[in-house]
Amino acid sequence: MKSFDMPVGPLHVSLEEPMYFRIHVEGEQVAGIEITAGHVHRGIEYLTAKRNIYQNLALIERVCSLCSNSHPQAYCMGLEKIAGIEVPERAQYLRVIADEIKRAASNMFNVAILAHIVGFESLFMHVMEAREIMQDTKETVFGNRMDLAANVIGGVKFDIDEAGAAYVIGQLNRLEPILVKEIIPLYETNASILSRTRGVGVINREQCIDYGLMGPVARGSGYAYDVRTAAPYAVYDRLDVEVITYPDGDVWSRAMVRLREVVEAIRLMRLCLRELPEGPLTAGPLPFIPAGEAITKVEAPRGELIYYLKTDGTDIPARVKWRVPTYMNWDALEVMMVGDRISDIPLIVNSIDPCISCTER
Amino acid sequence: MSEDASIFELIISVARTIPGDFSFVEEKAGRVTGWITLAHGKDLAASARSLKAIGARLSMITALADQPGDINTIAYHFDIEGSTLTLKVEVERGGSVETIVPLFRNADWHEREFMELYDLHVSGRSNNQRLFLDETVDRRVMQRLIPLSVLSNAASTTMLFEKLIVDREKSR
Repeated sequence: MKSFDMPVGPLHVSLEEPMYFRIHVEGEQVAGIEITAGHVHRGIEYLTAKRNIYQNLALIERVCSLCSNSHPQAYCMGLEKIAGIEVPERAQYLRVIADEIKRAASNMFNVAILAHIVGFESLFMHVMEAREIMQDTKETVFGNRMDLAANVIGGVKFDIDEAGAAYVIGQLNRLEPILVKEIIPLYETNASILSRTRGVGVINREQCIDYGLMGPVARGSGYAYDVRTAAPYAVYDRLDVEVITYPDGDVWSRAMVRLREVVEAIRLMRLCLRELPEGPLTAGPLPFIPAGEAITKVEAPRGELIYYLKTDGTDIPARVKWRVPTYMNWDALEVMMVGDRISDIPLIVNSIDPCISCTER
Repeated sequence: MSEDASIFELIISVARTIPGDFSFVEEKAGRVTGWITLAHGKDLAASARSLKAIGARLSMITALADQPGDINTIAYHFDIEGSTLTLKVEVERGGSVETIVPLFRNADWHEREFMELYDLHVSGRSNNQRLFLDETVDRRVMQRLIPLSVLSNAASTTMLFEKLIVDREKSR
């Protein structure tokens, strides 16, 4: 059998962002993989120690577009912890709505790309068109389709009044039937989707734990860890979040977890809008942020996002460090890819919902 | 005793067996955030092993430079069922710590990252290939880069223009 090394990337038609893979191939099968990162390393972590805490809020939201709300949320939670700031209840509910609307849009983007890679272009367009409902909702509520700028230290800077809530619920009512009656059944039954994704890119539960994987990738292998239930923040402990898992650990299972999580996100948004209490949006004028350190975690669309913050009593943080879920997923590609066909590489890479700008910072 | 309460007790009891300064804060839903500054860096692997024995997962490693006394701190953040325990190791500039990759496979990328960004070394590793930065970039970039504010104050303008003029002359 003929063996050779095949380069994929850093710029490649199947990659949304630059990453370099050197793939060792035996015949038609992947035998090994070597990853070289660093093509979009921007030194954002370094910059956070050169900007004040308010400037960092804007900077951190721009680490990544798809999980852009998760970064400032975790960052604000860290400062609130250090300064002992009590976030008002209304703001906590609104934070969940911002979190879930981003999750819905992010997950739908990923499963749409899966359809595109399979060559099922009409499904790709259908999912992207349905996702536009969430994009329009974000634009209407937050004034922006990607970076919501929803969080401030001590609360939120957006509100949803009665008319706004009715609009959002109307949008959710438009999206849910498309998702439940059209999109999910297609992913569950269509032969083109199933033949390309079932049994492809498999990683089992034990391997997920070994590689430290989180989020839909781990949940697609039956590992039921979700920060929203394991270490609840905001008001997630009151919402009875369903942790979606699938047992098989293949490309299809990861896509199904993401799709089902969109349905769950819709339920959570509806619940928050119904239970939304009256009250202020922020904790008021920002108090002095003393020297201290904090760890915070949130469930970003791709899994656990963890932040470490250290302050020294000035308005410039001494250290801000974060780790995104994609960080561990890269390494696990060697498990998912080995033994699979060359033609499955783009599908497997997409199945970890890779975020390179998040990984490299 | 509820499951959350028993995990809380387990974390606290194991943390107290690790040699070093230990403090903790009780969080929402019975979770705990604990901090341990190890008395000796050589205790890192043994401490990490005792955390792994209670189901800890390595979440992240944070390196902190330029601490008082020219000491770098490396903080290893572990998750145990939603609780977080951080082991801190103090390392002199240019010093090294033992790898924990044999215990936690995902430590590999974290160790490679802080080795290239700081003047820190990890012993016992088999793969020290750069993770993000090109091999031609010197180590310690997080400790020595020129702040962007200095650059944007046009501190390099004269040099840059001189270089451009020289290059243009050469090309003629």
